[in-house]
Amino acid sequence: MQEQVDTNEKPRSRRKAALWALMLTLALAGVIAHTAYWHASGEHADLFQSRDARTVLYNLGLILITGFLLGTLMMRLTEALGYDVSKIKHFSDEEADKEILEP
Amino acid sequence: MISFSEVPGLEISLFLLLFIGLAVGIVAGFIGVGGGFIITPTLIVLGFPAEIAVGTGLAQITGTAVVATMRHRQLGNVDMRLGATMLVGSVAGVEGGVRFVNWMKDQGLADEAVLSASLALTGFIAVFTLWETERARRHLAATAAEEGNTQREAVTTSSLAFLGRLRLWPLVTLKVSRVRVSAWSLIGIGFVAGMLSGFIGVGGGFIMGPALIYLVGIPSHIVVGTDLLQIVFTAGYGTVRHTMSGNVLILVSFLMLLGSSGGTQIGALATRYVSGPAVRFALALALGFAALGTAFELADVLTDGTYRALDIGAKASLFGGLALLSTYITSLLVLGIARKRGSAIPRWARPLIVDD
Repeated sequence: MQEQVDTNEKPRSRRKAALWALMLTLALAGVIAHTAYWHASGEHADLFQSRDARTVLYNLGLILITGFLLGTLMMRLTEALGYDVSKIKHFSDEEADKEILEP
Repeated sequence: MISFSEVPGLEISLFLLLFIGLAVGIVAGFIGVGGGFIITPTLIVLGFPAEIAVGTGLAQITGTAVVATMRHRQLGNVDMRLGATMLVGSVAGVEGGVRFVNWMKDQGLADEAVLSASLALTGFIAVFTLWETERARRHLAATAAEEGNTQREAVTTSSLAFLGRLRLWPLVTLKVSRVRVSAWSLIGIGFVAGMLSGFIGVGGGFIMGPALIYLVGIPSHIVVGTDLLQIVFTAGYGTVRHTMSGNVLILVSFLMLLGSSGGTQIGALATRYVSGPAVRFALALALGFAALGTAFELADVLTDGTYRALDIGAKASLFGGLALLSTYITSLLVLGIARKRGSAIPRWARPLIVDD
């Protein structure tokens, strides 16, 4: 089966991915706790009113960092679950699906 | 329920925001759009002021596009050279679009202009894409019956790809897309898409996507991934501009982003199992529902909210469309996996699911 990686072949890679996923989850939990706290404490409302460079950097930074953390977490999770993500063959004369995850 | 001191009187359920994020993420990850043309009217319908809906939606789209681009890059759907060339035009276009909408605002015509332009554009692209996709689906079904397997791509309007044949210096070789094309064609598409996205307040994916497929001849799957890369920059730029105008409720964007991150995985992974026309069919459906919702909303604005049925129609089109599309895309992912494992799939899905 192409979707299922043999668990005996790549246990170390999957363990490593699971560890990464755990660390990324903790980092995300930190970001979520910070966002909830700043909303409750009124910091977000102050930033909303000030509309200066600090607000721009905060909003863009929060969204980009969260996006990056979530994206990496999703990739590590699929890897840890053993779901094999390989490149799509866009043209009929392309090489057969090439695995691009680390072995 | 969450309340916001920035917008007094506004209260919204946390779970509803997560759910909207999830559904929009599925659609965005599959068809290569940020989802602004769905999110903005949905937030307006939920009671957000229009300018806050646009700014907050753009911030969420930026994050969703980052998550989806990372997955599409892994799937080999991102053509970096194509994205970089188009970026030159799209950033300039967004600025032009923002200035144009501000000028319309000064004339007192912003609401009507934005809704009318949005309706005309989404309606036209939806009808054209639906018509072409149906032809491509029939072509794939016929090929599958002859050869016994379904091909990844089929476009039945190659005669329209005149921008792909333009030989104006400098020419760019796109190795991933296997196209050699004038840089001006790509910069021009980026500029027009950026201009419209700055004007209507969307990421621009639903304009860039069909333009790259039909006018240049780029394969649908590569268009999906590359569009999302573009959207990171265009929606990011829009977020900066709207933050400076006090239009971004960052907690709302953040919560929808948490919901959409799971959805984009479903959408992006589903592209691996489907043919190009299946992606374009979902795009046509999404645009059709958005056009219908916008039409109801425009009618509601023009009649000063006299008829409650118009408001109900807008809600039904937007939420019903999101639910239908999410189900369609998730079904394709499930059926694609089933086919890979050798299980039988329904007849209607056979021309949409690829065999490789």
